[in-house]
Amino acid sequence: MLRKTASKIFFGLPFFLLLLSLSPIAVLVKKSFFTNDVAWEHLKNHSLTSEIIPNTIFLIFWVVFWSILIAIPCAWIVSRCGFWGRRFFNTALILPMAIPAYVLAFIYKNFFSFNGFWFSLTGQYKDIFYHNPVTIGFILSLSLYPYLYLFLRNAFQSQTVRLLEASQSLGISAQNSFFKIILPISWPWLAVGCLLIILETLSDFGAVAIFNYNTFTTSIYKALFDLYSISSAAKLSLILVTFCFIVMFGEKFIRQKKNFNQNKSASKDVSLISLSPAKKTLCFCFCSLIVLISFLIPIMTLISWALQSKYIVHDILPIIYKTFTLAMIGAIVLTIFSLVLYLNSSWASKKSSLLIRLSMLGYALPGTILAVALIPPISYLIKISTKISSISNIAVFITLALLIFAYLIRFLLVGYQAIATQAKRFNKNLLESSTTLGAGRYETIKKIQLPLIKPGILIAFCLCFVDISKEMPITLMLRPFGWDTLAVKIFELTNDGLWKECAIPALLIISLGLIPVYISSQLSLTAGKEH
Amino acid sequence: MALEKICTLEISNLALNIANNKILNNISFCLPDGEIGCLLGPSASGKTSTLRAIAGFIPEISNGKIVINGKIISDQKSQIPPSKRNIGFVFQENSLFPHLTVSQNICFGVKQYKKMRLNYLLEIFEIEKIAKKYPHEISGGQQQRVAIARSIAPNPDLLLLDEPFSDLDPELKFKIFPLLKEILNKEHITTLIVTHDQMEAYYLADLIGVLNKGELQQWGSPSEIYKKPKNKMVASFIGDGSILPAIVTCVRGPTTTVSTPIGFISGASVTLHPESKKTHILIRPEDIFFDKNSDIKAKIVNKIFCGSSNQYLLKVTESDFIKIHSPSNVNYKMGETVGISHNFKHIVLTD
Repeated sequence: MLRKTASKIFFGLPFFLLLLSLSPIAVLVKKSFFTNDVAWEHLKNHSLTSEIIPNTIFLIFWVVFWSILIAIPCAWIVSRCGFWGRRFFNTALILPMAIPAYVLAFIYKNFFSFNGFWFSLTGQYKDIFYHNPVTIGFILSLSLYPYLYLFLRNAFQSQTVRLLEASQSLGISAQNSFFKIILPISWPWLAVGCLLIILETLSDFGAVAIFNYNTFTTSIYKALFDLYSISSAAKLSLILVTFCFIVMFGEKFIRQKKNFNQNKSASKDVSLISLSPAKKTLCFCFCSLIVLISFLIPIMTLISWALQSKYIVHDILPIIYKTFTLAMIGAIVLTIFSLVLYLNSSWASKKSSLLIRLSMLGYALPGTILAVALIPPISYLIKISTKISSISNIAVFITLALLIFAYLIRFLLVGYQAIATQAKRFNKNLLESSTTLGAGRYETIKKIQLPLIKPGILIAFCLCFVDISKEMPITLMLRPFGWDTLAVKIFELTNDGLWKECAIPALLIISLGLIPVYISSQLSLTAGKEH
Repeated sequence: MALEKICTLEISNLALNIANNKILNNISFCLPDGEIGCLLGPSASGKTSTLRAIAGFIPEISNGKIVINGKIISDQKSQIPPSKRNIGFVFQENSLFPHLTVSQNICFGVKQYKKMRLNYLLEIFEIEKIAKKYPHEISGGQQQRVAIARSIAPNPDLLLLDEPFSDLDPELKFKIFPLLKEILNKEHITTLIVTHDQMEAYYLADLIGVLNKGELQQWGSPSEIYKKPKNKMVASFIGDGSILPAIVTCVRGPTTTVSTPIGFISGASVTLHPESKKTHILIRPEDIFFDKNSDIKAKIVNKIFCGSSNQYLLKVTESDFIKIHSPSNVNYKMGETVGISHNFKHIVLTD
């Protein structure tokens, strides 16, 4: 009897989660359709079509443009061309993933500002970021290109090995076969990578806020905190959600259409294309330049600022403590849900596996939108609870609970994928073997699945922990009073122009961010060994 | 009449539709206690689906029933979950639990007398030396032996093997076969094997079923399947044979005579056909031999050297060809016209 109820709860979970992740959208719809105010009229007439939409579109265009320009050559030469430092750049080019776009943004904004490095070097000043999607897009692409780079490197290394050899045996030179064969067949990877970058750009808040460049996310924030109009924020959010879902379904569509199964032919035995010394130097210089501007300059700047910073341990400790607490709770909740969801999907029928995938669509919701959607329920719950309960801190608890809930919706996919990736390394027939040997579902989970996916659970926890510590808009907009995290502190300090004081929080966030980079490079290493 | 053996596995009218595709249709057979059955067929013929339906990995069957030792385990109304069927299953790929040692793998399904059972199995499968190793530390042949040992460890009522040797190289395969056959006979385990390899089936099976397009074409002993194929599909799929057009000219008691492009052939026919009926005759290579004095001539159009023998393909008429084997010390040239004779004890006519 108890088991039956447990099993009902267990298999009902995806449906419950789907409802939960749809609930923010329901709130937005309610808030935007049933209330109207002057602020919206103003926004609609003066900035929506003339500023917000074009700004967002231009920004997306330039981010994708620069990312492609960086990622394609890097991925190609690192995976196929022989030049000095190839192995080093193979990993070094992923490092910028550890730096959030908002950190890069304030570093480069300062770099080109009046008291920045560029001015002291040349004596010339021009605000190159002022309403300029080309330059802002470039800075964003510095932190986003690794997504595309990883996809393309994967495509170039695994998928195309035999084809390249075949085309060479047919008398086409290696350089020509890149344009004739490799690029055309790599387009799904290119497309999926670009769509992910678009999704990230749409949901970016910190970087565009620092550059004072009005996109959807910043306008939503301003509508809420400058115009005090939740209905306008909700309306803008709904428009943005539509964009995000279109992009997300596009990505899903391409993934389903194209077979992403990796060709298992080993990539080790492939001979690299030999280049002339001049070309080798060119490759080396290009990769060095990218690593320099996307990783080394920012890190060095931060270190030098940190040394000059007046920020002392006494100020930073409470913030670290709050960040740690939030990330810890959030990561534990996320890991539990991801695990149950994963176990669920491994035993589910085809129908409910669709439900499970749908229940994770929250990752496409920009943090700003989640925050806007959760503000009305939070204030409602606080109002009710203060009436019926006399616990003093009840408001803080409620807010924290909904903050964790927002993290859950936003990062569930991250945790789930970490576990599912680990599990994919094992054949599905292990579960069937276990059941034919007389073990029921619970016994199989306990004896076979859990021991096998243990590393995946740990990775899920780490990734969620890091993502929450880096997260800016949700925490910024929903946190209870006094719960400043490192990312929130950076936003506040940059808002006041206190660049140098941001260095220590930023360095802490980056060092946390190196954990997922390390994990993913280790994973690709072990994957390489297995084949 | 001999007493009919008790059926361990009995399948009647089994049908399986997935998304309006008929995967299996009207499959019925009976596997007697302690015997080894083998399902043979081309790819996508439904062999593995049948096996998975018996194991319970397929959520529901569309028609019929599966009975083990008189107990219905699957019909349209109810399904016993795989864990309660007491069936052993060995997969094509390695399915050993990677985090458990060989011993722990074998003991996984054993409820009582673990130690005794383990030692016994380690001994008969000759894997004592690797008992403490993990699956990734042992060879493919050893992995498959451990997998079989693991699945018979809980004393299953029925053992199912899904192309268990297809990942092994032939040499290794023929080393395992005698051991496996001996163990299965000794342990008296009723076994059903799926394979596409005929040699494997001849070597192991007491009974063979030929499947094609989701239907069971024939179920019988290996020699029955080879000598008396029920239809054209079985005749051409099993063994090496050619099919020639034939017209029944004379039926005298058990002896039927047919007229074919290589002359009149008579012999005991497996099936009865009326006179002057147009049909086909199955010609096995061993039924035909070279004969200088014969009036029947054919042209050699292809020749394959197979070590001790040569395989020739002979053109009999414009559209009819037959195969013939001959010792490789007698050589014929390509394009040569030769005389041939035949020697049939019984004949197989198919439509």
